[in-house]
Amino acid sequence: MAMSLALLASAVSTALGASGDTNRFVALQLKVTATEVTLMQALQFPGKAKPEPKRQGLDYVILTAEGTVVSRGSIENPRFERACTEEQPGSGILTQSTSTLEEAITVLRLPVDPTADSIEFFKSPDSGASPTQAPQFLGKVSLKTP
Amino acid sequence: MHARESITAFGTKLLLAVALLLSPVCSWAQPPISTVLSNGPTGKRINIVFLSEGYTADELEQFRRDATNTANSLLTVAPFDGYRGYFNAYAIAVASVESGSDHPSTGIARNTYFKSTYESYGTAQLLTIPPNNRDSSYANGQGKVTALLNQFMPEWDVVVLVVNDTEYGGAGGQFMTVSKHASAPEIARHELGHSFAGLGDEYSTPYPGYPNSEEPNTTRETNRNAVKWKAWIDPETPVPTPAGSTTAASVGLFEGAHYNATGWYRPKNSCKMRTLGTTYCEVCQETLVKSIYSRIGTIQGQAPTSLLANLVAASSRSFQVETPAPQDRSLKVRWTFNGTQLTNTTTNLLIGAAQLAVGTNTIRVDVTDDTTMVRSDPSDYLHDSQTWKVVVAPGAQLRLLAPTLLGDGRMVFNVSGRAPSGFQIQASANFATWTNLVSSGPLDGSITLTNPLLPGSLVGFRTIATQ
Ligand SMILES: [Zn+2]
Repeated sequence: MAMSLALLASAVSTALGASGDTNRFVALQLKVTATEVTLMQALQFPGKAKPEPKRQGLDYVILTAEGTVVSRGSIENPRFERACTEEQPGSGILTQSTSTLEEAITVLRLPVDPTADSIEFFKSPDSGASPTQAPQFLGKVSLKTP
Repeated sequence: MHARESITAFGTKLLLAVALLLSPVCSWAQPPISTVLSNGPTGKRINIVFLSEGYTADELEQFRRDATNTANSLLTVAPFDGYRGYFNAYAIAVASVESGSDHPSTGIARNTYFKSTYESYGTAQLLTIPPNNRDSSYANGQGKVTALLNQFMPEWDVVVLVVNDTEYGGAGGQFMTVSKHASAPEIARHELGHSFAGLGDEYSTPYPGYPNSEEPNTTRETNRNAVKWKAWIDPETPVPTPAGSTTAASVGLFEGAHYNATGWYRPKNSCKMRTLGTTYCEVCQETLVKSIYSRIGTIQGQAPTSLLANLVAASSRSFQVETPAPQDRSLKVRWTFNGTQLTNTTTNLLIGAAQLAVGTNTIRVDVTDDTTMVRSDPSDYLHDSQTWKVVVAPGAQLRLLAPTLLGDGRMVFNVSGRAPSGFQIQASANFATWTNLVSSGPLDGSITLTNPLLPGSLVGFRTIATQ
């Protein structure tokens, strides 16, 4: 994780949480493996981060410095490389070509929020999983400049 | 500002911000981005970005035509056709040294910008860019896409790499790839269901290891009252629903979905998320419409921007909201003034001074898309509201006591009452024209004022509150 934080520091002049301007967003470039989510790069942009559809795969929780939940969300796990193709071209009948990657990279965009301190990632639980079962923790990324 | 100018200016500003990070792609003879479809500011529209892969410099005009055709084909099917005006589309044209894409099994290797290849991970149709099983370098493929998006369109919503190769193939995910095969637009529409709305596959081909979690259009629930799309199921439709000619047009609970032939259910026997060449089913259309509004809302701006106005005295006020508009109708606008619904259904409202009461006045507007394509919207994506409060201070009330004449010819006035902005004492010789004698600042109580020497022959005095 130390490496992730160093990259964040070098790449972002004003990271998420450092500005109260709501018309800005931060793009987190994340490397995802089966057991870990780490930050490759974070960049801040003017404009609006539109909400993405809820996808099962990776859940995240944005926290304040005191540990209060700011917001939650989920994104598709980029490790599942999937292409839906026809069994025979022109048949219309779909099948999938898939591959589960060792590691993959995705971009998560979030509105700048001055109260946000960190983001934690978890593997989405199966829909049939017990609610008491703790989700698998995959990593934590600081959203503050050191 | 013209949309094209807007893009250029935005790209230039961003260039300065991230130039150190994007040195490989930060200087162009001319910006490679062009507008394919422009319907509004990037922050208020859904932005589709096409990138060229396997197009030589001489073929980039063809890429722009291909991007335009692909955009049109994506937006000509329901529900997108009714919301075409909610989308922008852009083409980022970067030249490859050679045309086409790699076909490893036949020894075809093309020198292309994003280094795309068919046959990824051993699957003939899987058309990907690095990192993949043939090139693990993120910087060679997806890294270039990300850098271009950061530079030219960071507010992207849908990204499509158009690969200049007619072989059947493509891939989903955050950055979709499509080839120029005749089936490509239909595959792209299907993949858009995944990436744009989080729809699941409704077909049954096994995918061991795929997350075992439901999507908006897939479920394991068989209790009719608990099925998430129950609003679409007629009471006479059996649940689970047998596939057959009598149920072909029905929404129900059809077995086979989410890569499972049994135990998982889909809303309709046929849907674009199961079979190409068909429409999106009602439940998938509903999800797509909600996904549109979850991104851009029904109210995109308001005037006045301040939600609270404090008025010393009532004056007419106008209110306005900015809304997107589907192709064939306007969104439903409802204004409420102090709890009473008004007949005005336009996006502008004028409240006259006489209508504003002393105290707090509340003006609320609700904007809703009442499309029949959405029957269940628990998150209220298709509705936004805006409330303004206008506080009108009590009006000025002044009382002028009988003036006392001083020996030097001046007069002493005693004024009591309330005048938040101040007041004047005026005098008249004929009760027709009035002359200001003394001005005062705000008053809330009483005050004694003495005027300068009076002109002669005055017959009356009065106080006037300053507005
Ligand atoms: Zn469907």
